[in-house]
Amino acid sequence: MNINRREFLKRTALGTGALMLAPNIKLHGLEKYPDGWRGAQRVEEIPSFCEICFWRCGILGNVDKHGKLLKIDGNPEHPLTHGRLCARGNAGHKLLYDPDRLKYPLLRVGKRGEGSFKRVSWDESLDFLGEKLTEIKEKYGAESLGFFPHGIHARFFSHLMKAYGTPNSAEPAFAQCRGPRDVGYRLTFGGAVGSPEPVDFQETQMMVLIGTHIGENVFTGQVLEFAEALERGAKLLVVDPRFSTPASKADWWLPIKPGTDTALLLAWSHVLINENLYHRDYIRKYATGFNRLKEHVKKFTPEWAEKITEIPAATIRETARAMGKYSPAVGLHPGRHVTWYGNDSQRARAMAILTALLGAYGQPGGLYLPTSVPAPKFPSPAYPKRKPRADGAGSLYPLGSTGLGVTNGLIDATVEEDPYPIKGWIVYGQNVIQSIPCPERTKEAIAKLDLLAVVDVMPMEQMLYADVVLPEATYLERYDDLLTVKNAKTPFAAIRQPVVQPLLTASPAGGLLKSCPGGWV
Amino acid sequence: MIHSPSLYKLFSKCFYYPDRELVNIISNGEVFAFLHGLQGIEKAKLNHLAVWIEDFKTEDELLEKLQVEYTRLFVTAFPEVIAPPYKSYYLENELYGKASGEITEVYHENEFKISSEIKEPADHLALELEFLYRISESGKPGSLEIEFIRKHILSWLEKFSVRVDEHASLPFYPFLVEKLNLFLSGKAAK
Repeated sequence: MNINRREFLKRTALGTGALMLAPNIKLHGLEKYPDGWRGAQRVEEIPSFCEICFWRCGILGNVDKHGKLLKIDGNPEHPLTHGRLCARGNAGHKLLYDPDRLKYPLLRVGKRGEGSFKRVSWDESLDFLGEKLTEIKEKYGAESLGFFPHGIHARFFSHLMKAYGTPNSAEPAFAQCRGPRDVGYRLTFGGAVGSPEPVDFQETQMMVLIGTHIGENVFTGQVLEFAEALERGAKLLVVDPRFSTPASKADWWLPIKPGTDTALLLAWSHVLINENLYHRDYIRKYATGFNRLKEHVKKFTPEWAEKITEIPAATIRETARAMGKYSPAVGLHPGRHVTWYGNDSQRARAMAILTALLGAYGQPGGLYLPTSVPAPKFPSPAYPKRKPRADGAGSLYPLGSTGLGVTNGLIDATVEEDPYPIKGWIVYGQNVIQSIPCPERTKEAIAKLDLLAVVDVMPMEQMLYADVVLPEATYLERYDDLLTVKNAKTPFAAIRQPVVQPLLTASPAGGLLKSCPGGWV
Repeated sequence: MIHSPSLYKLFSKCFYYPDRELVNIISNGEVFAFLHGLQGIEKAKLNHLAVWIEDFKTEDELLEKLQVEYTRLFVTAFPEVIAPPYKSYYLENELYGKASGEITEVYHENEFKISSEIKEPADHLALELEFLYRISESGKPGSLEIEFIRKHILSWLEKFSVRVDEHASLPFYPFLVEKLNLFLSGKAAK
């Protein structure tokens, strides 16, 4: 540098001479009003939908004349929620104005894990990302890029990843959430349960909750339906080790020993079959393998189950008989997050089979069959042919979802470099170090990467290891892909639009992709 | 004699994201010369700063160091940002609080708007200081200046400076915040 200590002190001492700061210093923050400029806007109510959970309730954002979001209400037009909104949805503006939210693109300086970043422009960060992606493709092939998406906003990025040519995309929804449930139901009925769960609350005469606690998990529309069913006089059976909120409203609460659900389900099946309470016509018409099932559950008596579940045999019989009485209008809720003990797929199969015995699948009061919303897909150009995926979905895990991917499979593949090296990750709206078990393994995988890019709204622990961090716009600041909800008695579609313009330099995925340099794909 | 517009300009520049221009006036001693001339800097502190500056081999090195420090203290850190330079944060615990709206109104009343280049709310310290520079440079009445300082900066500057002092890894920002506090408190006392 052009100064040493002595000179520095000398110049400083002469300070009084420099009363006017160097004229070439310019400040760019404020400018004079251009003539006729009107800063103020009128107060508006802007409809959109929430993203704090997958239920995506309709919202109305109340925006003042400065474009500041004052509060969020439910949108009365929403066919499931009728204007209701949960506490988290009401608090969405707290995310928007959270002081910790990612504000500018960042590039790592120093070692991964240190958390040293410098703020950069979008151009700089995208140039960096583009270069890295091009390098990876040239050196290892497009399949060497792993993508960890989540949320409706990830769809734009998913298109980009497919166009880039990688088959490797995995979100936690399967392996860390509802995977076993969907596998169990798919093996029984030929289709996954889907989202939200298609329970016919309006017509049901008896609701059965096992491993689910509606009323605590605030899926607004579903809670409303549940409450209305109770009001209508539907029976409620709750199986939960804990005296939960729904348990407090139940006709039967079975305080089951944790991890023993399958024993109860099998014993119920035993009772329904042995006492001829199962739906014979339905089984005759739609099911195969009944005799094998009958043979299989022969020994799973309520007495047998009592020893395992700690639920009295008499109660098991009584509740089985109640389900038989109200069948087929029995809403046996499939639950949602079920990745618990490792036997969860078989547990889900037992639930699906029980549903079939009650004749409740595809019947009023049970589980209805959703109808697709006839919205055409956006006409994207054809994707390039992609190599086989590395996460094991469809191969090592034959029943693993190729739509959602197997997250830990992708992490394993990265660590093992098997079937091929994975040298780059883009993490979009996931929190890989916290959500996926064995964080040390995840960090091992990260150490193998030439590129870790993180796109998010808030700083997560994985940010410490990222080479580039990009600030996504919150759901309140962007457009998203068309939302179609087929799992509803009245299927519908919804549009998300910005309630406010993106704050700071947050940029929606769309903006990111518009500036995508030609060389990436 | 304290030449306020220039001081506001200098402080504002120092609280924007560091760039070449800033590094220039640091490395050639201008920042410190100016502050010393107008407020006085204790010998020990001056020495400390001189040693710190001398340590850098190139201007690029100094620029990156400042940018990393600025990002960590004022922009983004895990798990929480350390010293967000916004009034709303200290008084309302969020960004774009009521304070931001009020201050936008003050800018508008004086025929200023935030430039489209700047993606920050109105209550960012650098913007507030730039506003003070603009109104004092054009010879606007003093009461607006003093009111603005008291209401919109001194109301949170102390809390801000505690954060900066506690978590800074370079001497630059704590030094600046101290000098700024001195300067503005002096003004407000009038």
